[in-house]
Amino acid sequence: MTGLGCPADLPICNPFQYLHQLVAAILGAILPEPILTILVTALSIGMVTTLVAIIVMSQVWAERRVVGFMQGRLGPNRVGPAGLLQSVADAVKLLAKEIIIPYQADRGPFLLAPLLVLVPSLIVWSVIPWGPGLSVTDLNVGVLFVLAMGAFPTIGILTAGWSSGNKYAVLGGMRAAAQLISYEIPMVLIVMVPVIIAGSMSLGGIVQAQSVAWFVFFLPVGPIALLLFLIAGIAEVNRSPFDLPEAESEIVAGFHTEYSGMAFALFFLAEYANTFAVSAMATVLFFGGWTGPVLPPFLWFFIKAYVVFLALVWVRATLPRMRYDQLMRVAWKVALPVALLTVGATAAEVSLRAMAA
Amino acid sequence: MPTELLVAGGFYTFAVLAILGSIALILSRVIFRSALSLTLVLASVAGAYVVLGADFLAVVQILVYVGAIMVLIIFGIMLTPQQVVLETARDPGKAVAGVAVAAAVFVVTTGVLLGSTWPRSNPTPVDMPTTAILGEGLLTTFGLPFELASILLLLAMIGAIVIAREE
Repeated sequence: MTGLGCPADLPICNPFQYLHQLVAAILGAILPEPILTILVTALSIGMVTTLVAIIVMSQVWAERRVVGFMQGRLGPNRVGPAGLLQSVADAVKLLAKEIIIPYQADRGPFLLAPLLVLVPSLIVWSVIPWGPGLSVTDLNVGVLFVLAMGAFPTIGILTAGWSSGNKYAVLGGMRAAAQLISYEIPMVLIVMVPVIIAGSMSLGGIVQAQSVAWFVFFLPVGPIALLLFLIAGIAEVNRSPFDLPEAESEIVAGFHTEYSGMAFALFFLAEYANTFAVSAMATVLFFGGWTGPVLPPFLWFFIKAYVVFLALVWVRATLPRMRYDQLMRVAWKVALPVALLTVGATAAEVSLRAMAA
Repeated sequence: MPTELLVAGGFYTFAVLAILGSIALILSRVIFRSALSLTLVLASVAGAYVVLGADFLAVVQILVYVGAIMVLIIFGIMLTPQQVVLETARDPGKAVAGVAVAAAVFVVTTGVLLGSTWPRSNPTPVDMPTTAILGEGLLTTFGLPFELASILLLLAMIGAIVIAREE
């Protein structure tokens, strides 16, 4: 299954199938079928993980450059052309640094925490479709799966905060937990809007349901739902203006105060992987995913996702950090009621349209 | 045949993980580590659900238990720093009483488990999305229990707000 403008025999348009054929051609004679399937799945996961790592590097560069320009300065521009290799240099630097474990820290959980944060952020990418049939797996509960994996890193952040043996880390962890729990509820509700319109919880199904019109144009609920989704999404990935768990002017660096070297880099990686997951989910749920004319589907997907990401960067460069009570008030007194009403209105509108048709 | 092998392998892997997590949970003296072990148990149960074809249940298990309940438990633990490490019981009387209660619970539970007949469900897996069947079931056949559970949760929520309100 391929989309418009992308011939099926081109490896880049159909990478998973191509990978399967390649592995089957090389190892098919030696290995039995189930092991072959497991191997191909593992390789697909490796492929997607590598892709996410590359995306994160591009994002870090883009964010620093764009914020730099928005603030009337240049941003990184020394390493490589236009500073493109800055992220690579940073990654190498972080890899070479020592991981310091504080004397007061609880060793096991301290080292486990970055993985608890990063792994779910990567698992999310197994269901996000960047083209027709282009996801490691298309679950029929895909939307809920993404939400569930989005809830998992909270445990990791709390673990990081608690096991560091540092009061600022504990405070950051607590803030993160309270924030994530509060915004999880409007998030789950608002994601139900595209699900109700599409009549499917599979991400592939939701994209296909938008081949006629994007859900953001499903008036009047579409734009409201998108706005709430982005607000809740920014809060869930702890980005500015909701970055209170790592507010440097109050609690040093929050839950990752005591982390250094690659352990810190894993938190960083997870944060950007999550940010791009929010952009990708907004693309899939509201902007028609990979659908689009002329260009190959995966290009459309990445173009849309990067546009949403740039909007998030814009928000970050524009708004100051919120105060804690403001954050909570928005969650419980604005986002939650509006989300509930929007879901109700969507259900009413969908059934009215069905009756009219 | 290989698929069945994979399913069985997956199920027993998650089962063993859940049991190991439970053992770690009761053996650890640091409450926070116990909470992490509990997370492992709950996630393993979700994994077992996936292997058994109940994908919706698995995802909701993660979303509710790991995403909400575990976070609340850990939150509670972090708010009570003086009780983070459990002291060893020095009183031998307490130890004897504890062992006696634990043994009694063990005997009764094992007796019930061994005495029950375990009906095997129809092993044909459901091919269509389980969400549709679940949704229909909740709003038709099990409509009354579903509404009762909703009212119960609503009451609990109002109760929590009333208790938490300072006046």
